[in-house]
Amino acid sequence: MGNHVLDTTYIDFYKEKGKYSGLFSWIFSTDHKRIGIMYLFGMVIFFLVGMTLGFLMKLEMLTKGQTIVDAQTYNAFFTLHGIIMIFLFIIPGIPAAFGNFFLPIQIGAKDVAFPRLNLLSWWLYIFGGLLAIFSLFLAGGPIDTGWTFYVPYSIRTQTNVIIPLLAAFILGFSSILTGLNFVTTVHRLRAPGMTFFKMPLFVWALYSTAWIQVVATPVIGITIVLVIVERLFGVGLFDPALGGDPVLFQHLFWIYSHPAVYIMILPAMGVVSEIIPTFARRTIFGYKAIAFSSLAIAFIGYFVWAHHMFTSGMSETARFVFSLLTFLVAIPSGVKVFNWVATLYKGSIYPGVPLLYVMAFIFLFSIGGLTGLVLGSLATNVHVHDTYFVVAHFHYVMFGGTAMILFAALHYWFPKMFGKMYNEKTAKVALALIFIGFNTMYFTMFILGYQGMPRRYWDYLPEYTALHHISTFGSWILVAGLLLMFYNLLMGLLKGEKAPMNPWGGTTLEWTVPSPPPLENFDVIPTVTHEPYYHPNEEEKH
Amino acid sequence: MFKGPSDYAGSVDAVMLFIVGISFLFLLGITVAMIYFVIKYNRKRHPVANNIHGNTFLEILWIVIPTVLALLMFYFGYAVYTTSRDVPENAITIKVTAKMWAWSFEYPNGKKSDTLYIPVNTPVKFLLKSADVNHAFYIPKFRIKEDVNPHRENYFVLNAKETGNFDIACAEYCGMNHSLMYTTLHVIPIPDYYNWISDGMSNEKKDTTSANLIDKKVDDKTWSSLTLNIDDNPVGHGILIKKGCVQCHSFDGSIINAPSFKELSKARRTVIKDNKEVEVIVDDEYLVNSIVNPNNEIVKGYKKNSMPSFRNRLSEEELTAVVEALKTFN
Repeated sequence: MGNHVLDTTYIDFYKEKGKYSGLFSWIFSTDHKRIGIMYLFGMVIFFLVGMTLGFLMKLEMLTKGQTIVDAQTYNAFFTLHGIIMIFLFIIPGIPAAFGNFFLPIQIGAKDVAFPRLNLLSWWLYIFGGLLAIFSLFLAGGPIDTGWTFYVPYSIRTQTNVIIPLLAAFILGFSSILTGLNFVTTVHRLRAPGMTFFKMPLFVWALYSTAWIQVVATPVIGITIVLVIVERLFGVGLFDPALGGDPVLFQHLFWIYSHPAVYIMILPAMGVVSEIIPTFARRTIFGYKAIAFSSLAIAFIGYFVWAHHMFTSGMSETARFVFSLLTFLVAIPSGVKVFNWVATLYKGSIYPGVPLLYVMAFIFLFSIGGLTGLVLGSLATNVHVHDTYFVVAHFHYVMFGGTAMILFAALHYWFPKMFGKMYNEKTAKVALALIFIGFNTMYFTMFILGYQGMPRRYWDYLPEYTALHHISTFGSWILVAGLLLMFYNLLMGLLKGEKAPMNPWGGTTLEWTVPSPPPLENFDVIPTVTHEPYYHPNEEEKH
Repeated sequence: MFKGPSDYAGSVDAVMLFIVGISFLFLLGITVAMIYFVIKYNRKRHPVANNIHGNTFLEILWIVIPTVLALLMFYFGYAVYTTSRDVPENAITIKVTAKMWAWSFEYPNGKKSDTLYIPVNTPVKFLLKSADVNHAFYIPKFRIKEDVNPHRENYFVLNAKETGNFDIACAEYCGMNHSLMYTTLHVIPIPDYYNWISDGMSNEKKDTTSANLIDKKVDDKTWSSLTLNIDDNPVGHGILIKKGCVQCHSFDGSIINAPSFKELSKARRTVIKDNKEVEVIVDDEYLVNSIVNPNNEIVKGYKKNSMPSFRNRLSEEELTAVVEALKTFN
């Protein structure tokens, strides 16, 4: 590698003088790093909004009947919580923020393949997000369909459905364009010597994700257009009153939205495969197994969508096939977990904050994944479908999984992105609070679900009271932990010590450029000769 | 194997235990190994790492074993599930209709009720259909659930082994009062069931179980008064029943969830329009508007978003017939 930039007079990308200054130097910038940071800030803001809604929902569930809001408001809350967290936080998530920032650097490129398209993606993201927020204040009131927009309810409700749907449509385009950009970037812009099997596993994960974004997202776009057409013009597509078929909507919706959960989790898995070798100071165990399992998940993930519909009345054959395939998609995720744990074996481990987040992730994600087996099995699915069990499973996978790793990535790459360090001790306290709060809040939901508490319920039967109390109590701890984490990072950003080029001893290319990196990342495009996680401290063969 | 209120429920719990048991072992193994490695190979104790690139045997092992276990889980889940789909020849058929936000049940002899009565130790096939949006018929204690869709009948089979009262919930989100859409399943001895079913139309006992969160229901009087009028305007009255209007709007002046249809024609009402109180006289235009855009003018004291719009759901002729029907309840 040997291209360590030791020149202290370099100009980092924040200080680079461009055509514009101030705000315009950001929102008109085509620099992948600036775009990554803008996505990150957008996402953190939307996350805080979504978190507040989640917090209020848990508060409402503290007591039977009305605690703070009425049923209609609660229904709007869970719809908005879902739309914001899914479409504005977790789908753009790791690829948009960290992928944009680190994909080009990790493959030794100066930028993504289409920098202007990249900026357009961000604009679409922000426009879509603002449109969704804007719709809340229109006459008719906030959308109350749940984030799944199931017809016929979504066609018949009097609340504002069309504008949030339009927002989701626009956000879909943002996602497609990012995917397109990443696929091209990986194919065309790898540095000399970086073959596919020398790519960091984060790049592999982004590459698999990008294909899902490109191939699956148009389906939701089309579906949304059809719902809008049906609502506006009364064309019979999904509403049986007009001769349509509501189950057709569910199929179309999940053909996108199931692969979409892999859009959410695959990049997180990529980040795990970066952090573990760095902190274990050794190469990854089973590089190819991890790389191919990403592709396998991306591929099989297309064929399991109808496991969301086991009770919809579809044929027995379909139930059989989709249940079987669902069990098969669990295998590659398992392979990844086993390889990660094996990577810790005989490592030289420094349990830094990012690794602790990863450990929390492995525990929570394993629970999320294993409870997925309960949902894949027909007999048990029928009982727990549409109950709190699903809510718990989904949050263990998406929050305990993806969001936890998004936070890990934030702590891992923070010094590189901002050139500053945060307080590690505070970060550990925050993680402990998050971990305890999370399990208190969500594990109780597995029990509630198995006892028969349906989801999207504003009210509940008296026998569920105790567990709801515990769950709400957990939400307070969780929110305290999250706020502490964000506060700590903000303090790091404002007052943190200057970070060195490579604080953790990472081996991928981003650790060979200064923190923060200069405008086009590399003075000289590096030539890659080593595997990505080459720790030469013992084997000196190369 | 497991005791439940039905054999099926017991088997579902057995599958659950099988999956959760294996999952727990995996979780324990993964977590313990992870923590053990992080402590044992801490940099202080183990300053130099071994760069192990992988092990093909291990990779095959941890693909094959989980695959076999997953296939077993799949098989048990499927095998148990199919038993809830087989309809025995002697099964009684009960029609279940879901509306926003209540259930109604129709028995083989035409009797209707809003809480469900079934005989013990008898297979019952439920035919499920919705009058409006998607719902799901869920009896948690029996581990049984199936969506209730408006376009096509779904079904499932239940054979209860225990008498008692059980909660029935709606499990597919269906709007404002989704969480109040509870009713009760009464599993009663076989002779009692036949007594009950042949005992006329007005045998709804007042329910005091926890499941009965909705206390105001369409009572029998509503249904019978409807039968009196239905011949005058079969289209209009038919729609009022089929579309579920009478679920919330009574004919006799009683308040269920919404204003009553009684003495509607030329009545004066105070409505909220654009956040302002306005006095209106109920005429044809007002009635049409209330059906097509129910949120525009909400009668004072009632909530927005309670009623779905019927825009594009009724033809011109149907709409006219409904409006005519609405003017007849005096």
